[in-house]
Amino acid sequence: MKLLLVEDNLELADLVKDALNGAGFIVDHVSTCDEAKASLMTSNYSGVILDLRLPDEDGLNVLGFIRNRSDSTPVLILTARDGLADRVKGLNSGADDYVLKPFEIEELIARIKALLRRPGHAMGTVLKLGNTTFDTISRQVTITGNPIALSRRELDVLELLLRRAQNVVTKSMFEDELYGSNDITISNSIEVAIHRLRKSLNDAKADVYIHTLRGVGYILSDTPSSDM
Amino acid sequence: MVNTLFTRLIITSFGAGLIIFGILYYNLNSTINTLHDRGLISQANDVVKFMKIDKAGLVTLHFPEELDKTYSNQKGNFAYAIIDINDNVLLSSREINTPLYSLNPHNKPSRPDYFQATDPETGNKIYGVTLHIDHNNQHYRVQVTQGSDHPDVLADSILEEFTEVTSFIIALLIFVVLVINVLTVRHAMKPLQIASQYAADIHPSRLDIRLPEDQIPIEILPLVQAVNAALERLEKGFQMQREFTADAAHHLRTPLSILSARIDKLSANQEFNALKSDIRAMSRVVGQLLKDAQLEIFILDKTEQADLTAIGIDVASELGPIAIKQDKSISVLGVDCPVIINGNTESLHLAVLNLVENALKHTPCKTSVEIIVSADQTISVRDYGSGIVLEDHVNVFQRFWCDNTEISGAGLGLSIVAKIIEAHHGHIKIIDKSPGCEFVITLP
Repeated sequence: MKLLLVEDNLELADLVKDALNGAGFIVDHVSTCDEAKASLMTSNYSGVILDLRLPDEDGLNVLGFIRNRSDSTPVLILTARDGLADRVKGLNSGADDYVLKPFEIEELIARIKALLRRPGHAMGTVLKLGNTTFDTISRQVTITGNPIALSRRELDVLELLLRRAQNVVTKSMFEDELYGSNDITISNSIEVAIHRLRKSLNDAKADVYIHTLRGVGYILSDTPSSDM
Repeated sequence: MVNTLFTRLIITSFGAGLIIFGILYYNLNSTINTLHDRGLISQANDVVKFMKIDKAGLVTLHFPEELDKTYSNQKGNFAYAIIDINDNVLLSSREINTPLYSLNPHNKPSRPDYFQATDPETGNKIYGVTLHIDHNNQHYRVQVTQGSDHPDVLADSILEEFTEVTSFIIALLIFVVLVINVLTVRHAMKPLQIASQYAADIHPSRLDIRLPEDQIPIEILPLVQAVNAALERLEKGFQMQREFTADAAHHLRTPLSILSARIDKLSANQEFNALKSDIRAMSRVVGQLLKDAQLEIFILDKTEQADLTAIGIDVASELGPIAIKQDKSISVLGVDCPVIINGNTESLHLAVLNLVENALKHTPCKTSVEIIVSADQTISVRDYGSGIVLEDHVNVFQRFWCDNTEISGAGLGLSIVAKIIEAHHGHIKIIDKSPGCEFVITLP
């Protein structure tokens, strides 16, 4: 999987590039908006990591350039800007995620992987956490290689949790993703599906756990769940 | 009401009208009096003209028929008397034997003396004049009187009528001028009203607005220009502060990122973990100092709205993964419908985030930090830690406050919270819950 890294600080770029290479990504590095646009014209990238403070133009111009081509390549903004309106501005201009400097490399890699796991993106077909694997094409779930049978609703819930693995999936995200706008939403049905899925995962000895955040949503994590 | 230009114009016009009518009334009266006086003088001169004094000092009068008729007619209160120096009446109309008006006998002025008296018979007001005549070293006085319905009435009424017409024209003129003034002021104020609408849109995130200077009357233009210049300086100040924090952020965070990435390349050992923890703490302080600087120029836009419930859920989602890793949890309790308040979502998010981070540090494992949103525009954060002693309830919001426990922090988080709540004109208090405590933010 090839990523484009747009960052004018060469030292930082080299370090990020090394780390991404280590995580199995191929990285093209450019330092200016012009170079970034040129690279985007000639190559296909699975994702773009974009610094906003670039020597020639504002990095948001590169984002505009990508989105104007109706290109949905995930873009992760990497910036030192954290003014009260900056994050909103970045996300409103079509960025998929916003990572503030200084960051930890692992965090950056996890966030990129999360973006690539989205439907239609490079890592979106096979989702994996711990010993649990979800093939989104065949809709088959395996725990340490053993297939398990899940209902359609349980599969939908698990897919969403895996796409946002280690992150919170709020109730409204479930509602948006799992129910058409014409469906009558029964919040109970999510709880029922979670309950059943939890039991299925537990029975199959999965090492991933569904944590409940009361009033918020759920997190699928490899941290064991404790009863609270 | 008095402050409206319209009222002021009416009051000024009314005042001007009063003064003009006063002058007119005064002039009318004095003209009538002058006419009156002239009438009396000519009446007295008539008497003098037909008056004869012989060598023995005997005074005789030979009036023509008309005058005789006038003086014998009761109507009009016409009377005359010729008096010597000793106030003896020598000749008079209608058997008058006392002077018509007593004067100091030794006073011998040469000018005519006008007087007013009351007719003893009818009680009517009468006007008169005394002429002083010296003849053969003898002093005589000729006094004539007439009533208020004297023959000059015609002249008076002509004058009065003229004044009436003039008054009407002046009143009309004042009214027309008033209307013209009001219309002119209205017209001149129109660009100012437009400027006011522009000014109403100015707030911290729209400092680029300037008041329109075209069509503003030259008299008011300096004010508009001064306001625009002030806005210019204000915008520059804000801009400089923003640029400074943005530059500082870049120049501090990029090297920290490099340092962090370098450390990540080291192999994991005890030193590695210590370094990572150091860099995290340092990044945190830098972040908080920059936030603190950004908040210095934060002013709440009165039209901005935020949803406390959504903020609670967002913060919980953001910190949820960290809580789960620490074997803790975060819950959002209270109402599950939106609670809309006047506020800035990003800054309130930061305030709640800081409170929840703080609560996560203090709450023990297997407990949950609770974010409680209620319909009375409060959002609270409760932990199950050891609580805060009462004396420190105020101190915790001071910069660089530290509770001397092993839990480390820069001591800026809660001061940032206090600053944000202050900018929202809200209120924050700490309630002891044992176990733990609850930070309650109330927003207006």
